[in-house]
Amino acid sequence: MRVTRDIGKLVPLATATALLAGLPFVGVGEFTITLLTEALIFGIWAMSLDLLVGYAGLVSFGHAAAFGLAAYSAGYFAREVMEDFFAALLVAEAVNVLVALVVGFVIARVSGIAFAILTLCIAQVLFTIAVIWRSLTNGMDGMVGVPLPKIFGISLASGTAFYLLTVFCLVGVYLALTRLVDSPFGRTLQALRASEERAASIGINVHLHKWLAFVLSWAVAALAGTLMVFLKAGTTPMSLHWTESGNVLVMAILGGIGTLLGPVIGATVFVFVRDEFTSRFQAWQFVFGLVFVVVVLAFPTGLVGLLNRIHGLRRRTRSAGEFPAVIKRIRSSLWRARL
Amino acid sequence: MDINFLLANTLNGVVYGAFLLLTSLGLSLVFGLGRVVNFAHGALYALGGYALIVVMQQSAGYWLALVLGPLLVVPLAIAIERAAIHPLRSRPEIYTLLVTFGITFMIIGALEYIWGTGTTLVEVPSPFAGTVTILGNPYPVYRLVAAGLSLLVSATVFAFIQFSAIGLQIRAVTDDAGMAEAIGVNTKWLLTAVFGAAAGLAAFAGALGAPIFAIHPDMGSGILIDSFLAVILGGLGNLPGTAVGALFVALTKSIGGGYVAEWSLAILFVVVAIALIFRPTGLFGRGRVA
Amino acid sequence: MEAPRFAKLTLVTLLAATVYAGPAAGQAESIKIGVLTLRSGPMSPIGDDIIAGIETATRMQGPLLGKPVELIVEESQWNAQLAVTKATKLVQQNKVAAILGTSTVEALALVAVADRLRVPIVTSNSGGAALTRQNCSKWVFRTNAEDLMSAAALKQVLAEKPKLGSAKWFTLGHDYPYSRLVAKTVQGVTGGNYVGEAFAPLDTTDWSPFIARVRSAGATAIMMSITLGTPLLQFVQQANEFGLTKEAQLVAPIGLPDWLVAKLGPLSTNIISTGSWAAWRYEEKNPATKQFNEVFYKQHGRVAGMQSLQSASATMMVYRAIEKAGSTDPQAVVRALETIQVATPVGPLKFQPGGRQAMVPLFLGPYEELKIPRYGARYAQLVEIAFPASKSLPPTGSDAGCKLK
Repeated sequence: MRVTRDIGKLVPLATATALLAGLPFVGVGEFTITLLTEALIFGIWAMSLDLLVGYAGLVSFGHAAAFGLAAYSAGYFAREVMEDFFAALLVAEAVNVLVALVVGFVIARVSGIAFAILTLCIAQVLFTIAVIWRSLTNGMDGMVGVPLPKIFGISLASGTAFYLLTVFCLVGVYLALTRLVDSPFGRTLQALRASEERAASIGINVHLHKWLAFVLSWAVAALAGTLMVFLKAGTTPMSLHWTESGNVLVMAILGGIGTLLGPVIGATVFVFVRDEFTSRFQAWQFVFGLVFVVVVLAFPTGLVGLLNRIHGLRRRTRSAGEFPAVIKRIRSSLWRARL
Repeated sequence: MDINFLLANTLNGVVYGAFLLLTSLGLSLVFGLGRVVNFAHGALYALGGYALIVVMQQSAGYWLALVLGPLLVVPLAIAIERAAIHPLRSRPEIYTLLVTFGITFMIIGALEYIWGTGTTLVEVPSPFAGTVTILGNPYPVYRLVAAGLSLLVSATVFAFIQFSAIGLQIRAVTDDAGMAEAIGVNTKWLLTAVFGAAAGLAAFAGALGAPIFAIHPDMGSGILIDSFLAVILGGLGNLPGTAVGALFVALTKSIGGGYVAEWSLAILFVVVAIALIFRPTGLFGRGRVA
Repeated sequence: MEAPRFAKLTLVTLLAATVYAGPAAGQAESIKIGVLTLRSGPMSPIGDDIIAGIETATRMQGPLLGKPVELIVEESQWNAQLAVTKATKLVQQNKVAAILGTSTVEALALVAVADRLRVPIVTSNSGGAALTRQNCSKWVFRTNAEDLMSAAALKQVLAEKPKLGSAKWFTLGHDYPYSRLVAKTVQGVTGGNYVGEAFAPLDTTDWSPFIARVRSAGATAIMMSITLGTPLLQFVQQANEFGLTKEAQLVAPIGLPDWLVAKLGPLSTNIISTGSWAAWRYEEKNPATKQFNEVFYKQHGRVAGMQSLQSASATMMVYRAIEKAGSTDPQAVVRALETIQVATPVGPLKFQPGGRQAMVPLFLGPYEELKIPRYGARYAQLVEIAFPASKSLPPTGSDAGCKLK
């Protein structure tokens, strides 16, 4: 039963992966691939935020911290020690998990707006450190000169090869996270989001679960940060700035939180729309803001909700009535757990 | 560094704190009343600066423009509330943050489109252009005047909320929206009106600060973060708490800035973080905010 | 999230991505030049000046190799990551022959990916010394003077001007690596007369705590390594408000953009530049400057600012190199850039042998009110000294630490 269900899920997933991976070979423009690489990396990052916002009900306004910290650790290691992708990723994971363990232990005490502001504080402190610790970060000038990564000793070219690596990472993260949110741990998180008090009253260790969700989220974001620092050959303190935290929140909510796939779509739309608007309009901020306001007002469940409605997919999905369910979930989490 | 230096920066902190109170009050009010996290508060502050310029270009003096300018922003804010925030009444409060985030982009983009991206310096209004000697050093008179005006306006807002009939309604809704509605308070229009008034306060601050901080489309982003920290430290929706929060943020910035310059911002965030860990609802939070 | 939905949604995304093929290559007849700079936010008048200078240089050039020149401007937001994306777009989608217009933050980000972009990048508004020293790239040239050249000029001016040499110095800056370099230089030159330094967080709007610090140190000269834009305006206005300008001389290490001088008006006369990247009043000594200023004023209706003069000089270098190469082949243009000498608004320019830094002078002098306003400007920097590159730059690239592959 479980096996057939898994196969039933895996076939379309494999098809989608093949389609995505096939793009560079069917005449899609070189720059579209470049932009898509960036979008999918942001997608991984936005998924990691979704784990916090959409599943655990914890709104982070400082998720740039997880992204930027990993970018600095992986980039520094790759430049100074070795260019191996997995080694750099391991370093970034180690740093992120360590910091998240310490920081998360403290901030898992709170939720709601206090959580949002605390995460903002962490990101801003890291930002300041990145500006001041010049021997390591080169300050505001940014850490540059990160080489292209090597995988099993082979140097990865920018462009198609890097894009394929990103697709591989994205699909891996997506698979792992869909499993995770369906696991007992994932269901417990969703119980927390509904009501921390109720969860605690039936014996759930609320603090432990929030803490773990935070660490996991940072661990996933580390992969995104690592990919990005290789793609851009460096990073600057701006990768830790609160405006970036705002951007990733926009991506996740634009796409639809609590869906994992939504944030990826949100990130893709965000990256392509921003690129077009900044190229075409000098007052791009106005148009960008307008589009965003319209999406928030008109499509409460994000683009995924919109696509669901258009394609009538709702009927065929396992959890029928997911569209209103998403709203209810978010509403309950954010209304009740307003700390 | 001597005691004089410490006192000078304490004064700087108090002056900035008074100003910050003015920018934080509206933020705290609309959150308390409608649970609206108004990210566009900084953009409304910027609009106040531009409204000042517009009125002054009609050859009005600074003081007239200071009064009239913010009044131009109020109807715009009311329109924003009705069009974009009101429809979100039944949705989680995070959506008000998101929609106002988008509105911020729209306002900044519009300001850049209409008036360009440049910075406009506003001359200090004539009777207060000079300095007075305080602690042995010249201190700008206008800063003292601006701080005094900020406190005066803030005190008026406090008194209004404490003693007027509408103030009573505001307090009732802030305490328990459902109950207030049950006894006949029209919460919808009350929020619209308060949102407009809060925008007026932000715009007034933008105009009042213009001779010190100058005017440019992005002028609201720094003040927005400081105001948010002040409001959250004091407890969202708690006005006296907001006053203490504003003073606290301003003193940390000025005294910290004086001694450890580049670390001052990090220190502010660390202090706020520590406060929130122990008091998640702010230093003076009310139970209901938790 | 269900897997079938993943497939369908991916399809939709793919369709969207395929539709997004970008604008067609356009007329192949024109030569495309990419301009990457800041277009939004309070600092964007700098970007406007950069673009305006490039436009005027392009108008003065006319057709290049018999083809019209098409400028393609991209917004970088002064964000390193976005700059890399936009530069990639210029190369991959617009097929530009060269990239102009960058400032430090973009140039440093681009030098790291220059080998992937493979087009000449000529920056005209970047101070970071590493760009043409230890981090130098075959592809990245710079026309404006770098930070270590500014430091050399600063040394000279302090040694030659007793009034400045004997002042009590304080460095006040934003926390950029450049500010630290300036502070170190000032401290090194002034020795016992160095009374302190402070580096403000980047979004500082209220300078009063720092003004108190400067006062408490008893400074009589302030080296302002403050971002050239709104922050500098705010600082100078607040310094004036506090009466600090009566107590201390304000010094700008790399000069001020002329739009900023116009905004400051009489306040600008409190400031001395110890090494501007360009100054339009150099026209009194250099005919090419005058010629450019006139065309610029006719085209844009304002005075050619520091960034415009610089970006125009970089543009002229690129156009001359393309002419010499006889094509837009990137390798050939790079080789041509290495050898040409061009009369530009900042003087006759050529690149350092074996390096990527232009042998460009720095312009020293105070800001003053003009007796007769010119090109709409009422205040401007007086060029007392044009400090030559021979005194500020090692003779060859490799002496400066640039090892080209």
